[in-house]
Amino acid sequence: MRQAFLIAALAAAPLAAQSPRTVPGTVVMAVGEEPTRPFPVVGSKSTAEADVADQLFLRLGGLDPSLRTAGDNALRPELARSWKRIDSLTIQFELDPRARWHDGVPVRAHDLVYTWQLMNNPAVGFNGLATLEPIESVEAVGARGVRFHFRRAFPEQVYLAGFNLLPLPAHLLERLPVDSIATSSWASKPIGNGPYRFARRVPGDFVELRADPAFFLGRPGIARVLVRFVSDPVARKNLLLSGETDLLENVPQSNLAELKALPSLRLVTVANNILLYALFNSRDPADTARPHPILADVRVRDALGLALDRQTMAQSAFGAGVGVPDAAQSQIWAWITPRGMAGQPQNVPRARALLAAAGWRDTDGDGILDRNGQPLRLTLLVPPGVRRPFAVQVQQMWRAVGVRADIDEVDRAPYTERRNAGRFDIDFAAVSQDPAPSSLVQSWSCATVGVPGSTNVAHWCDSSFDQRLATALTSQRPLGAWKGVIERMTAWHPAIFLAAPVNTVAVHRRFTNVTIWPTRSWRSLWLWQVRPEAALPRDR
Amino acid sequence: MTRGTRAGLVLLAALAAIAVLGPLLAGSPYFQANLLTEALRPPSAAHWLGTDQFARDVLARFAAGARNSLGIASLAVLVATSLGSVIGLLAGSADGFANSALRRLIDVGLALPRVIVLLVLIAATGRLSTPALAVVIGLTGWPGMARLVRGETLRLRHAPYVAAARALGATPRRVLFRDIFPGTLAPMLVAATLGVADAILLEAGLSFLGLGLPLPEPSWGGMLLDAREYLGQAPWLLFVPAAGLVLATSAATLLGEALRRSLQPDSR
Amino acid sequence: MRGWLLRRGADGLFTALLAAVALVALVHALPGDPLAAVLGERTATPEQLSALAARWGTDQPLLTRLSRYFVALAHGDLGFSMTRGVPVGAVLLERLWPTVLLGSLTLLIDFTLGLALGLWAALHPATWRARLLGAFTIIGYAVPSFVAGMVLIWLFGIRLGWLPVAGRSDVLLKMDASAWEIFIDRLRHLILPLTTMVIATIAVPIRQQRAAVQGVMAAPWVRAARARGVSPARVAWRHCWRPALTPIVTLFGLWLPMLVAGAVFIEGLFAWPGLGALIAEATAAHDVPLVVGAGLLLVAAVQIGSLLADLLYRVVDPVQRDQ
Repeated sequence: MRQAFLIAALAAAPLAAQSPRTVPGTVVMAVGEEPTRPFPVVGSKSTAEADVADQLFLRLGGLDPSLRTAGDNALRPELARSWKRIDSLTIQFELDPRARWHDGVPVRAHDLVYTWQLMNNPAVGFNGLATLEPIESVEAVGARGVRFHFRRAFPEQVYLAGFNLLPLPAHLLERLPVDSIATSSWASKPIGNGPYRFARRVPGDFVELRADPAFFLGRPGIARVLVRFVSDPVARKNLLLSGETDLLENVPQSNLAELKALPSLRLVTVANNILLYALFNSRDPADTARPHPILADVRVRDALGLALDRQTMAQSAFGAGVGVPDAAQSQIWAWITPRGMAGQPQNVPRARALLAAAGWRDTDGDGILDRNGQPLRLTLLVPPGVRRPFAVQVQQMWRAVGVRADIDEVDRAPYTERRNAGRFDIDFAAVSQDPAPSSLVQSWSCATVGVPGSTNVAHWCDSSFDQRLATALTSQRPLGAWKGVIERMTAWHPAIFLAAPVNTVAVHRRFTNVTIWPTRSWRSLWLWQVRPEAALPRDR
Repeated sequence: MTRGTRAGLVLLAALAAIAVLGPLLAGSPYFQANLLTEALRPPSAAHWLGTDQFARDVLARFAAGARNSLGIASLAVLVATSLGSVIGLLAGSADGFANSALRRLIDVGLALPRVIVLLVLIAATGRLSTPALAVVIGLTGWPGMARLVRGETLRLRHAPYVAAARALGATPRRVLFRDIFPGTLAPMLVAATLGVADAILLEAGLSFLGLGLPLPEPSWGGMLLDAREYLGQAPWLLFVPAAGLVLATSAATLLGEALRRSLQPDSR
Repeated sequence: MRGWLLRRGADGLFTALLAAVALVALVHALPGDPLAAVLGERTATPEQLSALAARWGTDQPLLTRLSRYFVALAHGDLGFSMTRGVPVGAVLLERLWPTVLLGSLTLLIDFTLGLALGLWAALHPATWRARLLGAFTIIGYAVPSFVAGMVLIWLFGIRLGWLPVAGRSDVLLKMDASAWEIFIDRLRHLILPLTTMVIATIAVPIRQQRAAVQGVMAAPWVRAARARGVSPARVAWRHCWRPALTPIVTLFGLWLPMLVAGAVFIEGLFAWPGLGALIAEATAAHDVPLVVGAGLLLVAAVQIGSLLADLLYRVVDPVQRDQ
């Protein structure tokens, strides 16, 4: 049941029954950033690069369709044939002896140790270190045994180590200085260990991948993958409309009607790990040592949420099926509390009452509430893109309850800078949640307040939340404990959760055996096939 | 009055009238998002030019956009012209080191790619308010005007009537402001009028790249950016602001050309 | 002539140098965390931050950074792109060619078709066709290039499906495709962006040419020739062509940077992998080294364009040569 909801496995057409004849097949897709460094650790700064890296590199284990991350059997074997627990702090993975780099050299345990060392080299600037903090060290046991030592016992050890470490080829990179890896000849034509080989890159235009016929888990069903670089989202949609590309993920609501009208496309929705929320700053943006003059009051935070018709906003942006949770819970965590995905509805009278109870009244008759001569005026920090329309509507709805919101729309880089420095009243954040709910620690727990590099940029700290989190992190039967965590967050209002969209994906109908993964749609592309009777010229 | 002048003036007057009267005719204020069931509606009795993706009244946004787009362009040209004419006058009349320094300053200003400077400035500072955006566009537009005024000043310096004034004992300052400066006004006015057209297009381009006014403040370029997404379903969202841009820019061009013909009959 | 060229070249170089200093200083002095582009939407530990700052030199004072930049520049090193992690020079080189191709073809059409139309309009001022052309030059100039591009894409790419909607080439074209196939494919991808660029730019040469020719037609020697009974076409050919060229030549030099500036607004629409799209991407991402590199390239283009214009000017106008 859960599986059907989380992953769209598009019904396989009777492929084998038709004929044994197959076509090589080609997938053309367009991505928004140029995938110039499609390799892990030293590259992959963007989703596009990570998407390509997924095809070129293979991790120790793949996620189970249930997306559950706790337990020693959370993963399915990929690069690792098997793994065994040595003790509560040690797990050893055994690499598949058939695994090869694209140059024919076998993948060795040393490759993973080398990758781990690179991750920990500050000059590399690898961004996943906070997630990997529980791993103390990685050690090679013989040629194919990779032993992970953890700092503490917790149920997600296998997931953490096996899913988050994509190996780099030590035999090619070890002799290079760390600084020059990203500009080496290897980087311009990466050699990986995944189902696809890097064929060529036409700068500014596209990247071409070719199936590795010797891939040890089986030859990929589609011979060639072309990843076009098209920074403009409308141009990406146009390419799909004109039939020049085959896929598009996160199709905006505004494009659905147009794409539905195309008989060649199939639209499916899968769970998404994206969560949009308006994050309240708990501290004064001018001086993070002081509480926020307006937002420190939970009644105000509650009222600001109640003043919004979140359902209508979310549906106009993402269509039906979008969740509007009351806690940091994207669709991939819907299993914690499915009902939590439908948050409390708009209640303007109650919002007004809460604001009045907090002492906010319109004494000067200018339509804006005030208290002690200070107007209830907040700045919304908004980066360009999908959050823009939300900001406009939030501004509009708050105006109706006497709250003045100024939209401060800034480019991505200054947005990040101001967000990380805590210089905002309300931040329109969008995050991609990790499949593991333990990642809540990084953004919401007291332990991360004031820690440089933490994503708890609003300095939130709630002891009751932390206690429940601690319970959930070590519990071997965590479902009830995670429910408690979500419940606490619902009462605490550190943010207004605006939308937990589903991912609407458009895929050309000629593909079969299509599986779309929730966190990264094209992860199992190598298993897809083209129905020979529906093949296009480009598939031959 | 020539036909071009008349056409230009009529167009500008019509746009000004819409900017002023638009809010009265509009179904709802430009910033008001309505029920989303009313979004992307074609023109109707309630909303004469239809509604946008937030069910906002397109006529109201067009009118507010006219105020912003035309206001920004005019203010920008005013800034560019004032700054450019001062520098140009000084460069044209100074001697020695000051002359070469000012000439070099103008050359350097012309050598800097305006679009890049604007993109960099706006990207670094975030969304600018309406007057600030106008000033920034103006501040990057002075070198062209300075070159023009410098050229005119140099030409007039050797004009017989200026030489006569000098011979009569007028101070250099008096010559500059009483004799030379008025002579540069005509070409300056022509260039400024034509410059309005360029400034309108430049602002539209910046807004289209997403570097325009803060939300929900509309400008025609920003409306075009929003319209792109809905071109297949709601073409009026594109045509309305595009028509505004074409009319305003054409009007400024027509007026500028007409002024040139009447003020500088000898120039081509 | 050679002495003039040397003086003029040195002068242009000096201006370019000052403009480069101004541009680099402006970009480096702007507020904002210069490492934001490296980090993207992520956070970093203090150790990582200081390692990054040391690597990118952002921990140094402004003057040190500037002097370092120019020392490197003198060695032909434009630094590394912060978002791409590769040398700026390499990125610019990758993206230069598509813009040069689009720009030079636009230039070619503007200065052949545009001048021919301008000449024709000057010779037939009273016809309705000339009036139509006059109206077109006003409206064509007034339509923002990106609006023209959007409409063309929608009409010819999506509605009619005649032409590709984006990109520079068909990614499916075989690696061993014949030269002819490649040529046809490139041409099909060029049509829409090129048409957009031409619509946005051709009005100026038409109007310039019309005004120039009209001016010459009013000149005494032309009137004399007309009075002698020489046919208008012959007059135009023998007497108007050359003098009318002078203002056009000036325009020609200014065209190069203008085309790149115009490309900033439309290359993105067409996913055309050129400098214009790169500039828009780089400024949005605050990739300081890349923005500066692209800016310096434009500064150089402006100087080369203006040098070229002066040179052509002297070739066309003999009076200038003697001065």
